[in-house]
Amino acid sequence: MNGGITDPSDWPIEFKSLREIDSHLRCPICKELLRAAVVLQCSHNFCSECIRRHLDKESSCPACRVATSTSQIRRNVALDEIANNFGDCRSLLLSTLMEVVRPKPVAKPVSAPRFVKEESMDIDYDSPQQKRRRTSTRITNRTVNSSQDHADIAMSQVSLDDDKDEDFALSHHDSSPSRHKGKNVSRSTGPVLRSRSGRTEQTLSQSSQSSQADERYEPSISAKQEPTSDTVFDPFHGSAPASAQVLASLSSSTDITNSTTTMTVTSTASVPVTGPKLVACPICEKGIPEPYTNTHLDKFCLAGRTDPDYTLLYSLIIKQPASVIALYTKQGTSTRDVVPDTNSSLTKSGTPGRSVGFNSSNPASPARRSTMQWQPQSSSNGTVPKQPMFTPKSAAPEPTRIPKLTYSLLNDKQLRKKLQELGLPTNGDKTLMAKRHAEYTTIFNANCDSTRPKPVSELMKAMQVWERAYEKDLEVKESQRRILEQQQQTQRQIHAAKEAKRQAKKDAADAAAATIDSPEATPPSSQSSNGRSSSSTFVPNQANNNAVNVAIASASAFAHAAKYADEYAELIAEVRSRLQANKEKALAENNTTTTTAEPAPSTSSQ
Amino acid sequence: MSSAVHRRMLKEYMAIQKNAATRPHLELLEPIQEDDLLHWQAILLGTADSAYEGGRFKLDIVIPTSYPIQSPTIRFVTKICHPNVHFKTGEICLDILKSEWTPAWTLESVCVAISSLLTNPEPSSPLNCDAANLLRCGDTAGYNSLVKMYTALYATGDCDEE
Repeated sequence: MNGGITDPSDWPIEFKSLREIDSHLRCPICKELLRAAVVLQCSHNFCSECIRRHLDKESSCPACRVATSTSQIRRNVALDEIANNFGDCRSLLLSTLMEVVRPKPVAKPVSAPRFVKEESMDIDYDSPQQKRRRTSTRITNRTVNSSQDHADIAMSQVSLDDDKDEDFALSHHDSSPSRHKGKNVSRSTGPVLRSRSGRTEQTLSQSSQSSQADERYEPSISAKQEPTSDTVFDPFHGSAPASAQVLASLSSSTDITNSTTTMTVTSTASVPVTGPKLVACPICEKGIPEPYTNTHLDKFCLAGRTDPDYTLLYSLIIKQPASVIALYTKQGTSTRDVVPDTNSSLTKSGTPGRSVGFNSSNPASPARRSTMQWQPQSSSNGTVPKQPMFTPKSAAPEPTRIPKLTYSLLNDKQLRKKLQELGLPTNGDKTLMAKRHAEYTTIFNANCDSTRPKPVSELMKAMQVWERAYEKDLEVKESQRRILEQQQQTQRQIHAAKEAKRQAKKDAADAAAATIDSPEATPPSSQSSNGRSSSSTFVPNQANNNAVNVAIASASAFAHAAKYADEYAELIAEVRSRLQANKEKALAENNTTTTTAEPAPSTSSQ
Repeated sequence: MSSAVHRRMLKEYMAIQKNAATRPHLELLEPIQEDDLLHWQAILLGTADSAYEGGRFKLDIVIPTSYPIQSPTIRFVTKICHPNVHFKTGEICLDILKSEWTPAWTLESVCVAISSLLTNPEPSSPLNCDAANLLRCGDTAGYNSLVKMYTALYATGDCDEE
């Protein structure tokens, strides 16, 4: 989820319950932290997308095999919130924990809050610049900060909102006896400091930033005025030093809690504020917040650039419910200048999280922090997670899910129409269209289940990725099929060749048998010339086996047969000659015995 | 879609490496090539009290791109005499690899299941009828000696030879 591969076993073995929490917040299908958690009737939880994909294939719960169906999927909002927020703070919490547990296993994080604080600070402020900043006054902060690069400045401008948070904390601490402790707590958050100076800087450089800055400034001011009720902040800042220390012990989570509190506070407060109105740009026809019009025209539209995270197709916007538009405007107002950065931080790219990761030089982290603190204003994840709980207004319009279709009952035309309605491409054959529709239905409906739904444009992007993957898959399958075909063909050829050889051998054996027969039938010829006899005996064989036309095979068969024929012929010849000799001998003996008795001893002596 | 497979395979790979010590009968479970997470191999060890003792059985695992919705394809590379394993092709008849597959399974758990299949054969759905018939007739002595012979014949040497 956070870019890296996470696993419950990441947690140190000492914190077994954290492992348990982690593993229970994971989807059994994808093994990630739950995204848009849903619950089935058997009370097993899954990612909405995962379970939808599974139920497309099979109608049973993956965990317990109880029969179920897509219609039984219910959102599990509380669990989703828990999983989301756990995912947000996971890396930080883990690194903090690791720093405490691993190098000095003796130190328990809760028992020695001071120590922890010291340690984390040492680590965070290792660069001399930063160290100086921490110990110095606000003015030095500013000088240091102004020497930082543009990215940082931009960042600090975005994290303006932090400013206000800090202001509250400070204003409160001023009146509180435990001021220093409280301050320390808030001090440990780098972006706050940075943003503070950033703010001053901004007031200075406002001329350069022109109306844009003004406009951005405005909502934060209005928000600033709203939660002036210090009482809300009481539990978290200073008033009770003990609680502050406990919070400081897990300095990272302090930030988190801190931010979430601010968030809830501001969200309650800023509900009536819906932000500037959206208007259509006269040139590119994109939806833009009214005060932003000039900046949009000058800097982006006329310059030919796009400010993607800020504008949206107006036609798309006017179809959205008012709450979404309001959100969108809010998002725009606070994330404009660092569009790419904020974007990445919002997709929870996961600052690998030092204990106070915000302080690290990673430029994304301050932005991330700011967005976390001001979720109601800047969460470009779409809706604000907390908002549904606080505003009955935005909870009401739950987007309607796309109904499942029975693709076999639709013809091409109907299917194409359905795709068109959803704004999907209509190319390809029916199977592709059906698959495309099914895929979009899955991700769209899953998105509906999410407490932080993505904008439709992102779903479309996902669809493009899917489209490419599908094409690639088809190609791979096609090439595999071709390779298989080739293999089969070569195998068939080899088989045929083998068959031919076998046949030829068999013929040769037959031929050999024939040669044995033939010399007996014609004794004189075998004696006269072996070569001729074999060839003559093979002529009929060859005629019989017209099927065997493989020249090599027959040639070898000939050689084979000839060899055997020779051997047999020799054998037979020898036997014959012996027989003949015996016959002649016998004949001669008979002659001698029958004609004269006298020459007989002479022949025998010979 | 396919990237989801790769993420999950990477996750499983790391989990396998982490708890390698907890499964004594699985000598190896890893991708054949580092860059191809969809083709794995595993080596099962015959359990000490069974007729497969001393044998090392190599498995070939192919992961479909729709994993874990679809089950992996697993077959024995080492020849093995078992009622539920095809003697020639190495195909395994195991319900969780076919109809009973659920995405909640992992490669590791499947390998453990196959390992336990070795000691608990299911002769009623055989792929190797001769071995199954011996068991069905109650000739465990004959079955065990047959298995021992084949294990000694094929599975005691180097797994890489077919």
